[in-house]
Formats: sequence, structure tokens, C-alpha cells
Amino acid sequence: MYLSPDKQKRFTPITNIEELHHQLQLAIELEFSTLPPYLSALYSIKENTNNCAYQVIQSVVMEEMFHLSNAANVLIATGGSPAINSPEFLPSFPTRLPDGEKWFEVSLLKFSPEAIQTFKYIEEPSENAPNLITIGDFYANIEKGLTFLSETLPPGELFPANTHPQIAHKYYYGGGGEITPVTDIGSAMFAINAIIAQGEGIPDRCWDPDKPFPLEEGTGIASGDHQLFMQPRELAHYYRFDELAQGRRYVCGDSHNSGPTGPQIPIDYAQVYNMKPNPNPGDYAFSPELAALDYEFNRIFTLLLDQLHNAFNGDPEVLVPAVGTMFKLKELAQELMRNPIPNSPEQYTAGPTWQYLKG
Amino acid sequence: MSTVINNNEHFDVVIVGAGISGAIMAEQLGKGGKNVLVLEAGTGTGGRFFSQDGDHKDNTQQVSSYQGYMSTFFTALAKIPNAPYPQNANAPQPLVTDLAPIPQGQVLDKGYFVQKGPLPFASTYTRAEGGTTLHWLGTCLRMLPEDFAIKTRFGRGLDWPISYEDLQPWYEVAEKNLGVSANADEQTYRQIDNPAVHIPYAASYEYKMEKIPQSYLDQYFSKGLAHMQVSFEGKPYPIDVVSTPQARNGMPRGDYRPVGAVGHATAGQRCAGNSNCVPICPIQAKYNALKTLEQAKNTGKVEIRTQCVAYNLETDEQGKNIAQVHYKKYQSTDSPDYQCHTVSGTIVVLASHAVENAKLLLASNVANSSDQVGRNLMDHPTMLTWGLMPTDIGAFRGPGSTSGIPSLRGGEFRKNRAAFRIEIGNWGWSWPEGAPVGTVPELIDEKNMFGEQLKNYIGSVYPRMFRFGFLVEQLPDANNRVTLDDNYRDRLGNYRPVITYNVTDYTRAGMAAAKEVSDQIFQRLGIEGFTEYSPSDAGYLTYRGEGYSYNGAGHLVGTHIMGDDPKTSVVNKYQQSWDHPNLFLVGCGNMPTISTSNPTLTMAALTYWAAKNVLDALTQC
Repeated sequence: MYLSPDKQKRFTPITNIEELHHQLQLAIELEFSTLPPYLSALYSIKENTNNCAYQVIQSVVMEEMFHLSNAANVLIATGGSPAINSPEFLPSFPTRLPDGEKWFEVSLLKFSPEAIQTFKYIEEPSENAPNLITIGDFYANIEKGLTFLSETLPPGELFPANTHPQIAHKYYYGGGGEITPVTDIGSAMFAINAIIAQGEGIPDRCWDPDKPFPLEEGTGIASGDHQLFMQPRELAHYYRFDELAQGRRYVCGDSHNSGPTGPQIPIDYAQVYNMKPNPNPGDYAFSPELAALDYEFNRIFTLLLDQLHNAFNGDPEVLVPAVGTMFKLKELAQELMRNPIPNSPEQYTAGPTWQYLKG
Repeated sequence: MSTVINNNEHFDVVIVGAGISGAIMAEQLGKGGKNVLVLEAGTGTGGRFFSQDGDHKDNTQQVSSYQGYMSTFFTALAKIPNAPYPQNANAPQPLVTDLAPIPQGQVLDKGYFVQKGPLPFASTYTRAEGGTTLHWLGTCLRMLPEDFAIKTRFGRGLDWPISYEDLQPWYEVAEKNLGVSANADEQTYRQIDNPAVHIPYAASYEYKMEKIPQSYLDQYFSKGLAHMQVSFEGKPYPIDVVSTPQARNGMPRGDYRPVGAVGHATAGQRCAGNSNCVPICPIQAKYNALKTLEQAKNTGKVEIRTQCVAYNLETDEQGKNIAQVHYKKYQSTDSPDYQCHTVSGTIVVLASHAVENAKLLLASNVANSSDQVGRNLMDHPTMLTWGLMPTDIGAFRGPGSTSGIPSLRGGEFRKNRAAFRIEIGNWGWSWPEGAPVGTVPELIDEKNMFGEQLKNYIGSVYPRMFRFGFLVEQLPDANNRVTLDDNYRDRLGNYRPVITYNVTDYTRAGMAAAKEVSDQIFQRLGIEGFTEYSPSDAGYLTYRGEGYSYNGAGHLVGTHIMGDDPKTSVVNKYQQSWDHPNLFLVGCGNMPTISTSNPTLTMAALTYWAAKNVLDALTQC
């Protein structure tokens, strides 16, 4: 992706492997930091309501995990070790994203117009925001660094042998894209580009906001990336969230400037648990039951981070039990959200606090 | 009210039925460049995950998406196999809730089936686009080599006109296309000390996906039953727990890519253990025929018309070829209004399920010079035993069944009594008792439990619930049959199936042997038995003074069996009607015996073969 000189000035150029590793670790943290906000909104949706919205957020979550795996695979391929299981790995919400965007804040919110607006900020295409730093810009800087290093270092140094096993396709498919092994500059660039394309959907500076998206005839559900990811076509995250924001599908002929003109998406914000924004353990100080439930959530969340850490550091098989851990997390999150916080004037319910428990 | 429209439409192939065999046929022929029309009696989803007009709202609105089926399922009071799918008076379907004992000399005609007994036929199927794969469990077992020749081997039943070796390459095609997860080295059963059950696989053959992880319960059984043997007719047989191959997305091997969900490609990923494969997998991790229909449509050569009930096949003047397919097209499930249409196909394929195929053939008076159409209806009368494990075995998790005990599927005892396969159920007492949804109210209403006590009871008892299913072999019997009766018609004026059915002593003896094995296993593992067979059960029967109950397995086999002789079979080994060269029949109806494997994989393998035969026949036209 093209990074304007103006934007390039705001990033540290990557000129050595240590800096590359640092930036890729940041990328992993960045991808992971989107999960608590997305999952909080997702799990706040009451069972069997808001089906379309549920599926959209769920599919984005799956793709964030795909991005995380891609970034981790590039880090592993270049001889690094992803660090996932530490309190420092996680932001405390509300937060700024760890890649340098200062122009918006991310909160843990129930499914709501405010939450969708935040999600759109997170996935904002670089071309929409010439004066702002976006996730795409952050990755463009990594691509630039990778290119520089591949031109200046011998291949054995940038892509050494005997690194940890990478996350293979068999652990991860159908939900986000095709994981391809990273072995050289070409496959590394492919993996990074996949992240940019899915999130912002416009990995091309010759972008015309009035040009129709490459949507399948009539369906309004799909768009441009199937050749890249071996999956049917679907819109980039930003536009999928925009569909929810506007309550309509993008259909054939729609462009960025036209907005979605297709069928209505039924959204019922009343069918959502009224989760307290940015819940933290202090909110449960006067409710031992909620405190215990939140602790249990964080215990399972900690287990998940430990499992992911091990999976990315030599033991990919751990991803199999980790799937079960993710389901437990969902159960506990929803249990918290079904329970009111005592004496809350706003009649808030509890919500998970997403903390890594030390020791 | 009806009008007749003759569009003079002609296709290379007209397929009746959009279930799995119709889907496979359509996809294979479409890929082969043939113009194909599929007529489906029921409604469809149009390849949609969500309804076009958003979420499904209520039951009066016609369900037209996969999520719409989910919504129907969530609100259904009885979570029976057909609960998610439209009840449609224009294409009615049998329901397990219609079942009841049949009083002697009476007819049970409460549901779609008209049951003349003496015992009820207990299985159902789904009349909608996607067919019964919408609610199957996904079990994909191969048949044993000896299953193809039980007449020769044991003097029982019928031989197939083909051998295991003939079908073996087509099993591989089916396993690939259905996306079966399994490990071949286990599925050969070579590890079982009973040569009768050994299944040959092609050298170095491997399934496209790794086996679905076995449940904790399976592992508990494996350990507890290690080295166990039972004795039949003085000969010892082993009891071995083996994982079951399933058409369910697991971890792909190599470059294999499972098919995503229809209408929502990011669903349909790896099985997430949603615990309701039957009646509906929320994410389509389980194979259903909608996936193959989608692939068929993507060939650009296949048209699927739903709400089109074929009711008559008309032959040419010589009575040789099928010249016209007549069907009734209805606009709405709310109204009996329809229009009559006719189409023609160079070849006509009936793929509308064993009972529906037989019904259409009988109604049209075709393909029946052998008088075998509708006869030899079989199922796996499925006997359940259930009990409480001495310890928490994590019931109600994962797919319905991940392992079974296949070591008694074959053996010399088949000369005297039926073989059976043991299915290990992961969902506690859901089948025999309707747990947990059906049993918790009883605790509250009758046992007066509430609060902590109720919670503790559920917490201590439900995770220990366990059941076996014994899929008992049934032999082809010309008297077990589907017939038609002018007195019994559905709302469109089409025939309802009239079923005569009984369970012979051969099968009853198999049930008795199965119960003995169950008792021995229960004793060995300290399982507290709760099995109860009551004369009020629809499938209650006795054998040598003991009572047993069977359930339907949903495995409807027979009704237009294949054979070597036109006098005693309906189709030849190419699955082509002996009487009408341009008529092919597909589906479980072709199978001359049912043996002990769930029939879908074998049927799919046969259908891939039949598709090749149809393509060959079209080249010769």
C-alpha cells in the first residue's frame, strides 16, 4: 500500500530486524485490542435477535484473529516470538489503539450506534482520512520496512531457518481467509496485504470513491477479495459496519459516496443487554456474585491468552483446546451481561472486564 | 383449483427431488455440461442464509432462509427432527409426533403416512430443498464387504448386483465431496479382532479431514471396555470403541478446503459443538445438500424449481421411455391453488426419497413390471438403552455421536439373527426422555424441586446421563411396503403413502442380543440402568416373552431395489429402470439391503456412480 510522505513522517521507519519485531508485536497487540470491543458488542446482542448484525460482527472478529495470525506468522518467520500472555499485552479501556492513532478512543460498549461508529473509526480506510493515521497506514509502514530489509539483508537473516512452527491453515479456515505460510518476502507481503485489504478494503491509491464496489450481481452481501483469500466475495470491514450504521445493504452499483442503497437490515437496539460502558472490577465491589463471575471470566480469558501464547510459541496444537476456551468465554460474558449491577441508576448490567490475571 | 400449462420445455435431464441424491446428480451433470432441471416438492431457501427481507419474524410468514429455519427451531415446542422446517400441506412430511401404537386391525392416519401396521414405520424425512440432510446427524460409514452378499454368505436377504470393490472408488468420491472427517487407519476396523468387519481401503487412502475429536465419554468407554468380549453361539466377539466418520467440518488435511455455509461463507467453519446437529446445525459445519445444490447452480447449467410437486410420469406411445414429467406448481404454502405443468427430459431421474420415489412410480404405473416398486421397505429399528454413569461424563456436549462400537456389525451369527451397530450418544437422555428441555419441567412440577436443590440435582445428574443406540439390521421383506389408496390424498390431491410394516423375528432376535450386550456393558461400567420399554411405546414389540421398543433411525431403504434380474428388481446395477431406458432412480430406495451402516454415504457413492451412468447414457442418445 502507498503511504504518503506526510504520513510516513509520523512513523518510525523500520531499518533493522529488532524494530521490525517491535512493530509486528505492536500489530499483534493492535489486532487483539480490537477484540474486547467487538466481542463486548457481539455478546451484548440477545440470543436470536439482530441476526445480521451478529453475523457481521462475528465475521469481523474471525478476520481479526486471521490478521493476528498473519502478523504473528510474519514475526515467527523473521525469527521473533509473539508475546501474548502478560498484563501489558492488553490495554485498559477506554483506550487509544497501540499503533499511534490519536484521533479517536475505543471503549467497551454494548451493541449500539456509538459502538458501530467506533468500529468504523477502527476500520477507517486510509484514503478516507488523508490527514489521520489509520491501521492501514501502520501496516503500510511495516510493508515498507519489510521491503527495505529484504533489499538490504541476506535472506537467511531476514527469514532464518528453525523458527517456531507457524499457525497452519488447518487450524483456521472458513472464518476470515486462507492462512498461507510465510517463508520469504513475497509471502510476508501477501500476509500483511491481506490484513489491509480485509480491514480497509482499498489497498490501492488509485481509488475513486464514486466507482462502484466490485459487488456480486444483486446479492449486496459480497465484494472484492475472494481471489486473495479463497473465499466468496465480501465487503471490507469498514463497509460492513457502515451497512449496520445505515441499516442497509450495499448492492451492485453502490460506491463509497453513494452509501448503501440496498435492502434494509433490521436492527433492534432494544434487544441488547444494557452493559455498562467500560466495565471495570471496581463496578462489582458491592456485588460478590458479580465480582466472582467477572473473576471467573478473567481466569478463562487468562487461560485463553496463555493458550494462544503457547500456540504461537512452538505448540500450535494448543489451538484445538483454545477453541473450547473461547466458547467458555462467551458463556461467561453473556452471564455477566444478563445480570444487573445492583443500585445502578442507569439500570446497567455487568460486563466482562478483560483482564489478564498475573500468577 | 388448477390450470394446465404445457410449456414444451425440454432438458437434457429432469431430476425430481432436491435432496442429497438430486443435488449430487444435478451438480455432476451440470459440471458435465448438461442442461438440468430439478423439481422440488417443498419450499427452498434460494441459497440464502438470511431472509431477503431481513430476519424471519414469525411462523405464519413463509420461511425462506437458513436463519429462518433456525428461528422456527428456537420457537418450536417439540424439538423434533423436522421442527425447523416448514410444515407444508402441499408437500406434507411424516413427523415423529404422529407416531402411536397401531391397535390391531386399525389404521393410523394421524399424520402424512397412513400406517396399516401391524407395527408402525417410525422414520421420517424432510420435504424441502436440501432434503433430509437438513436434519441428519452426518454419520458416514461404509458398508462391510459381506453386506453386499448376505444371501450367499448367510442365506438371508438379498445379494447386491455389485460388490464392495465396485463401490469403493465411489465411496472415495462421496467422502471427498461430502467433506467427511475421519482417519482411514481406524475405519478399516483392522484393529478389531473380528475379520468379518474388516473393510478394505485403497492403499494410502486418507480422508480429506482429520477425525472429529472423540468426546470425553468416548474415551471413558474406550478405557472401560478395553479387552471386553461377548459370546454369541459359543464364539467370542470383541467390544471395541471406534470413532465414527462424519460429514462435518474438522481439520483439513493438506490442501483440502471444506465448503462454507450456503449464503454465508464465513459461517460453515469447523464444528463448534453446538449440540444440535439434529435437527439443524446453526453454522452449517455439518454437510447438507444445500451446499451441493449451490455448487450445481454455479455450473450455470442447473435450474432448481421449488414448490413443484411431480405427480405423474407419462411414457411414450410404446410405453418405453418417460416422455413427460407432470408437476403441480403452487405459489404459497398457505393455499391449495396450483398450476399443472409438464416438462420433458432426454433422461429423467427420480431422486425424491425412497417413499416418494415409490409413490410417484406407483401413481404413474411405471417401472413396476417386477411388482417390486414400494416393496422391501427397510429401516434400522433402533433400540435405545440408557442409564446414569457412576461419574460425570460431560453429557450434552459436541456432535450427537462421535464414536460407536462397530465390532458386532458382521459375523457368522447373521445366519440366525440380525447384526447391529452400537452408537454412543453424546447428548444424555435427549432421545429417550427429551432431556434436558423435556425433563426439567417434570422435576419442578412433579418432584417439587426449586432453587439450590434443583440446581444441584441438575448439576449432579444430567452430566452423568448416557444412552446407547442399537441400529439393528432389517432384511428386505416384500410385505413391508408402500402402497397407494384413493381414499388417502393430500391437499393437492396427491397420494399419501400407505405403509404396511412389521419387524421379523430375525430382527427381534438382534434386538434381544443387543439388549444382552448392553446389560453386560452396563454391569461392567457400573452404569445404573433406566431403560424402560412400555407397551404404550409406538414401537413396542416382544420377542420370546421379553418386551423391547424400537425407534425410527430415519434410514428409509428399499422400495425400488437394484438387482441382476428384471423380474425381481426395479433397477439394474447402473441404477437404470429395467422397464424404461431413460429413467434412472437414485437414493436409498435402490439398496437391496440395509445392513448396519447409516445409508447416506453408500447412497451418495451410488449416486456419483449413477451420475456417470447418466452422462454415459446421454452420450449414446
